Order: sequence, then C-alpha cells, then structure tokens
Amino acid sequence: MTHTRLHRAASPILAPLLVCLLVLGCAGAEDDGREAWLRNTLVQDNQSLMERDPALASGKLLKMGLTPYNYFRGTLGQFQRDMGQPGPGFVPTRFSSPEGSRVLLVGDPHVENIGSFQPLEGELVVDFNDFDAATYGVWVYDVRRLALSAWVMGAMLADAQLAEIDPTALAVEVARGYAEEFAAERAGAPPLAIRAQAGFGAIIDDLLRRAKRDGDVFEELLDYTRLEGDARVMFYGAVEERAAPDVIGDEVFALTAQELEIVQLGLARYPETLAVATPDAAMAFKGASRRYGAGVSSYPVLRFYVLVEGPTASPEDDWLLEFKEILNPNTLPGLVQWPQRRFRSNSERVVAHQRALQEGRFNDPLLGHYEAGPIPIRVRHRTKYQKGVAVDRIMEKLGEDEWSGADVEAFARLAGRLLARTHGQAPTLNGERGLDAVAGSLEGHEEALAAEIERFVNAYGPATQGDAARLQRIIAEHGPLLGYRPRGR
Amino acid sequence: MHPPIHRALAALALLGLTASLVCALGAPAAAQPSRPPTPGSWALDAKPDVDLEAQMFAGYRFEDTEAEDFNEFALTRAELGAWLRFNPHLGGELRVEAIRSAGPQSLIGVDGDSLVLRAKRAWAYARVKADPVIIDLRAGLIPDPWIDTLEMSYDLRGISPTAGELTTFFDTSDLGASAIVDLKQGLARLQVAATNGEGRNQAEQNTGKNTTAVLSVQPLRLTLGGEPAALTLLAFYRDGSVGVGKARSNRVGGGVTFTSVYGWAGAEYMRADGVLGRDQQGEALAAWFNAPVWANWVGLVGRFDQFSLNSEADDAARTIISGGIYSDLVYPGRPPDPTRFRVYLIGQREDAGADAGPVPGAPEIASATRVLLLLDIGARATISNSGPRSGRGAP
Repeated sequence: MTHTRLHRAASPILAPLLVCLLVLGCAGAEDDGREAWLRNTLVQDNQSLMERDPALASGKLLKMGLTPYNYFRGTLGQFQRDMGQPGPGFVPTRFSSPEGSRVLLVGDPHVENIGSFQPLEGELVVDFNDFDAATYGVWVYDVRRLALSAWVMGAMLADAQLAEIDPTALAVEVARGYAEEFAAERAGAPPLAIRAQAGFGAIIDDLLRRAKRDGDVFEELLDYTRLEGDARVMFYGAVEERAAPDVIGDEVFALTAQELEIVQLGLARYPETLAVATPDAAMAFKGASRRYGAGVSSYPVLRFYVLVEGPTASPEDDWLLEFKEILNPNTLPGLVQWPQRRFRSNSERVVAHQRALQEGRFNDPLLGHYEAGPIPIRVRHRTKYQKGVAVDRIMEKLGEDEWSGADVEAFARLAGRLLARTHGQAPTLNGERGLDAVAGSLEGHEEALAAEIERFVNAYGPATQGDAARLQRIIAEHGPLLGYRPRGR
Repeated sequence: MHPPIHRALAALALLGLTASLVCALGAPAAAQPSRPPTPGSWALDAKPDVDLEAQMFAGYRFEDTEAEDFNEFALTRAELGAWLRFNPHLGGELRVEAIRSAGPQSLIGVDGDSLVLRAKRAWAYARVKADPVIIDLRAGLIPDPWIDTLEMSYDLRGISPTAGELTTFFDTSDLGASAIVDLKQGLARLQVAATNGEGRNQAEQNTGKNTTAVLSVQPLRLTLGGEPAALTLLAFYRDGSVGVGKARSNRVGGGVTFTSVYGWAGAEYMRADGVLGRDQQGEALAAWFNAPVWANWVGLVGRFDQFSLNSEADDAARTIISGGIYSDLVYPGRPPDPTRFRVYLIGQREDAGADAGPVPGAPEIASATRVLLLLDIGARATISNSGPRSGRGAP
C-alpha cells in the first residue's frame, strides 16, 4: 500500500474520528458538587454490601434517610473525609500533634453508643458499647464526633419543641466534660466510673434501672426464644414492627445450612478467645437464628443469635450470644501510621480495643471472636443487661415532661467525661498512656477546646442536616441503591 | 437529540470508522491469504512478534517523623508486559502489575496482605503510517494520555511518579478509546481520548465519559554530543466526571521537558477542578532533572513537588524535595523502554502547610525526612517470527 493511498484514506477519517471522541466524551458533571460527592462516597463505602445483598444495603440507606440521627450514624466515612478535606467540616484544629494522632479511639463515639454492662463481678456499669470502628487516630476527632452526635440529637429535640435545648450548647458540654475529666485525672483523681444512683443524672439512672430490670428476668430469652415443654427453642418471626415497608425493625429467621456451619465453627473456636475460661458444657449449642434489622451502619452485615446451654442445664439461664460480622474501620484518609496492621482480623481488633477502652476487661465476660474463612465475627452476650441510650427514649421522656433540657445537658457532659476516661486509660500506638499523649496538646488549653468544638458544630452540624436532606433527595430520585447498579444483576 | 442517544451514536460511529479504516486498508492483503506476509503489510495471517517487558522498583526506606521512626524494604512496582505486533499496523499490549491486596482501610486481603497481580493495561491498536504522519487508534484499558505522553521524556519514575499520578489527579490507565496523530516522529503530536473516567480499579459508574486532549510539540531538535536532543512543550485538558454521582473531575495544565545525552530535565503544572470527588480546586507543580556526571556510572538527580488538594485554603500545600545520586550498571534504555539496572541513593524531605491534610492545623503529622536506597530494574526481550528488527515495541 502506497503512502499516497494511505494519506487519502486517513485524511477524511481523522477529522470525524476526533469529533466522535469529543462528542462521546461528554462528562456531564453534576452541578451540586456536595450531592455528587455524597452520592459517590456512600456508594464507595457500601459497594461491597450492595454487591453482596442489594436488598439489605437498600434497607440500610433507607433507614439512614428516616431521621437525621440515623443519617449521622451511617456516615462515619463521610465525617472522616470531611475532617481533613475542604468542605463544611474543614476546621483546622490546634488539638493535635504527632503523639495525639496515635491515640486509641472509640472511632465512632456517639450518644447512642453509650450503654450498660453487667461485669463479671459487681454492679452494672456504663461504658461505650460499639467498637467496630475502634482504631488509632486523632483524639480530637473522636471528641468532634461525640459532640456532633449531641448536636444532631439536640437539633431533633429542638425541632420537635420538646425542650428548651440549644444543640450547640449540648456539643459544648461534651467538650467541657472531656476537658473536666482530663484535668481531674491529670490532677490525680480516680478515673470516671459510672454507677446507678450516684449523681450521674436521670438518663443514666433510667438506663441502669431498665437494664437491671430486664437483665434479671432474661428478657432476651423472652424476645428471641420460646419454651416448648422443658426445652428452649429459637423463635422465628417479627419481634418488632417495621419502621417503614422496606426497613426491617427486628426480625429473626431460621439459618441456612451455610449459616449454621458458620455458627457451629464459631462455637468451636471462639471460646479460646474469652478473657475468662468457660466450661465446654456452657457452650453446648441449642439453636440459632439470623437477625435482621439491627443497627444503622451495620444493618446489612451478618448477625446471628445463638442459644447455648449457659451455666446450668436449666432452660431458664441459657445464654443468648450475638455473632456479628465486623467490617473494616473507617480511618482518616491520608493518615499513615506504622505498623499499619496490628491484627489478624477485624474481629480480633474490635475485641482487643474494647477490652483496652472499657472500664474493665470483663464488662462482657462472653466477649470473643473468630474467623469463618474470610468473615471476621465478634461474639458478645446478648443480655438485656446490655442496654443502650436511645434518642427515641430521650424524646419520649421529654415529651412526658419527666426529663428536662438540663438532664440532657448533664448527659452530654457526662458523655464527654466518659470519652476522656476512655482515651486516657488505653495505651497509644507508641505504648504510652493515652492521658499523657492527649496532655501534649490539651493541657492548659481546656477552654479553647470548647471554643473549637463550638466553631466546628456551628459549621458542620447544619451541614450534616443538609446532607441528611440530600440523601432523601438522592433516594427519591435514584432509588435506595443511589443509582448504583450491582454487577451481574 | 437526547444526550445519551447522541453519545451512543457517536460511539457507533467511532467503531464504524475504526472498522472501516482497518478493513479498507487491510483488504488487499486479506484477499491473498496464501501469499507470505510482506514486512510492513496488513496481512491478516502474519505471525505476531512479541516484546516481553519486566520492570521492578524495589528498595529500602528509612523514615523519620516527629511521632516515630520507621524503616522497611518495599516493592513499589513489579510489572510484566507483553507487546503483540501482528504487523506494523496492528498490535496490542497486555500489562499486569503487583499491588497489595488489602486496601488502605482493610486488614485482610488475599492471604493476609499479599502482593497480587492485576491488569494495568490491556488494549489494542491500529496504526496508519503516511509519512510524515502516523495515526494510532487505541481501544481497551488504555494508558492515560497525559501520563503516557509525559513519561516519554521522564526518566525518574523509579523514585517518583509524575505529579498527576502522585496527586491522584490522574490514574495511569482507564477503559476507553483514543486517537493519536503524530507528525514527524513527535515534532507535533495530538492525542484525544474518551474514557470511562473511573481509572483501573472500577467499572463505569455513570453515563458521562471523560475527554482528554494532549498536545505536544518539539520546537527545538538538535544534536548534542552526537546524540539527538529535544525540547518538548506539552499541554493538556480533561473534561471529566467520576462516580455514580458524576462529580466534576476536570484538569488543565502543561509541561516542558528537555532530553539530551547530557541530562534530562522538565517541569509540569496542573490545575484540578474537582478533587477527591469534591467540588474543590487543586494544583500541582513539579520540576526535576537527572544528569550523568561520570560517564554512565554516576549521575545526579533532583526533584521538587508542591501540590495542594485545596487551592482555596491559604496554606494547604505539601512540598516534597528529593535529591541524590544514581548509578547505571547497564546502559539504560530510553523510556518507555524499561531496560536498565539503576541504583538510587536519595534523601527526601516532605513538609505540609498549616492547613494541609490529613489533619489541618497539625502539619507536623504529615512531615517526614526519608532516606531511600532504590533499585530500578527493567528489561525487554523480543520473540520474533519475522526476523530481526529494531526500534521501540510500543506504538
């Protein structure tokens, strides 16, 4: 073929070809940049779940759209991104340092992640109860997260006109509580230990009273099992009504053969990880169910309720265990720490961090973990002694005029104190005491912490509300998978 | 006309044009399948030549930060590539690279956090030569036009990616198609690509397509020390979107490079409209040089990077300054030929502005001093079915 012929062939083709590429390449970027970002990051964070079980992933996003607090609970990943990147959460902090970026964090501290525990010995205690996101990081971002939860709760209470509540004041109370506990412990005071009827406020006393009442009667067995003659068996069906047609409330189903294998593997392996040895007979398998509808962020993950023999052969004291799949923690984008991976699995991470961050290693004597192939599973006692603070309960009590805005403020301050004690007691990534690592940037600047938190929530609180509304719009326009199309479906 | 239909018709037209081009030019040879293929022909029964390439960056890194010291042996690149050349007009590339199997937030990947192989590029090309013009059509998982063009005159990939890749403003490859028009072997070169815009680790997420155009010209070509030397000016623009939400991802910038037997130098600058999927502006500036000072045994190298993912903030830039020496233990190939056995000893300092991430307000968290001992090793071998040949395997 001659060059002349090639020339003739190529020339008329080239121009239209370039035009075709240009026309084809219409990017069509969205005008609302925040909405596009929110939609993208929600898909990124939930993509594996959307692929695995689109119905459950849809349920999670629908549940997040029900209330601003639910939205807040499901968007730790967005919060983390917003801390270091331009946008409404971009509030540079004076409360960090290389040491202060290596503190063991709760990861997702918020007012509904505070709950009661019945330790191996002694009376009921109050502690953080969800460590799925626990990891090493910047301590002041844990304070921001907790303060933001108080702000979002306060805004809901104010919107409902249930009390004279200023959301910003609640968030500032969290910061003041944090600084107060920090200063007290630095001065030599014993770490905070929250007990019933000890001056910790109406919300705490109510929580502990109900936990004692329901725990004593094994209410979990009443909800999720039934007595048939002398035998206790699993119940399958709806325990709680659905909040919306496609959002499961509390429903339990029989296991598939594969799920049963996962559970039985766990009963063989997990007891090795208990902090307190338990007789083999106590772990004798009696039944199991798949639980749907729990949590917000963890709504789509595997969760099993497993009935075992417990301390005696009587069906009245059987133990109900919760087996829950643990996902990766949300970490601060760009924050590099060495060593990057200290644990063999996420369930090992969560259990180790829970024991390090709680008041006692034995808050839950049945806490442990195992891996079923690639699935990391954390096991805990599903006892009603473990009960969490609920925003709905606070709204209900404010509506009945049993509690006041002052009770909510006292609780917010106590939550801040609890977080300070939690950070302070655990060793950092460098092995030093958390309290000393925090001191580097907080000591002498306690009041400035409250001012920074105020600046932060005034910027980011309304933005969170706006994002919750954006999620509702996205769901309305693109459906509960936000327009994502799972592959092969 | 409805935009999606518009784009679909454009895609069909593109495919049609490509097929027409290939069929029209290939028809004469295809009509005589029994005749031995002639070098340079479009014969469909030609046996392909295969160029095999391997490239590896490995080394030791010591890092000192205010919080801790750290050191590690690391493998930052391990790639295997195969260029297939059926004849001077048709071919393709398949290239795999090693990556850590656990993501940045994952504890567990494949067998812990093993290095695993994934496709980095997989594309076919058709080439039309009509002196002094060469036209290439590419389709598949194609190289990013900007990184691909700049790396032709960048010799330091072993110590740092170019600014677009370093900042993640660009991914090195993406699914799509491109056309390249090259006049007089690089005197002027235009590349236009339409791609998904999601890079190499995601399938298409939205209906928009990225368009990237890269233009390079060589206003100065001369002979220095008996070898060719060239000054190259480059410019690019990308209209892009990313993710299900179609977040804006536009880029504009340019660069200048100089290559000669006495050394290589260059600079690039880019602005990003839409960073990290956000409606924000970013920018990056880089400059570099490397020059042999004692035959090929010892050379000096320096690189400067300054970038910000948030141009609107007063002090959100990060700066990396690298300098050191290198030694070539075998005569190095000219990129993209990976052939070399090079050792670098580099000192590096990274600093962050007060408002830079990951923790705005605490820049010392992102600051570090590093010492790097790096190996940059690569080779190419040809399995030829059509006799000896010379020149680059890549189109």
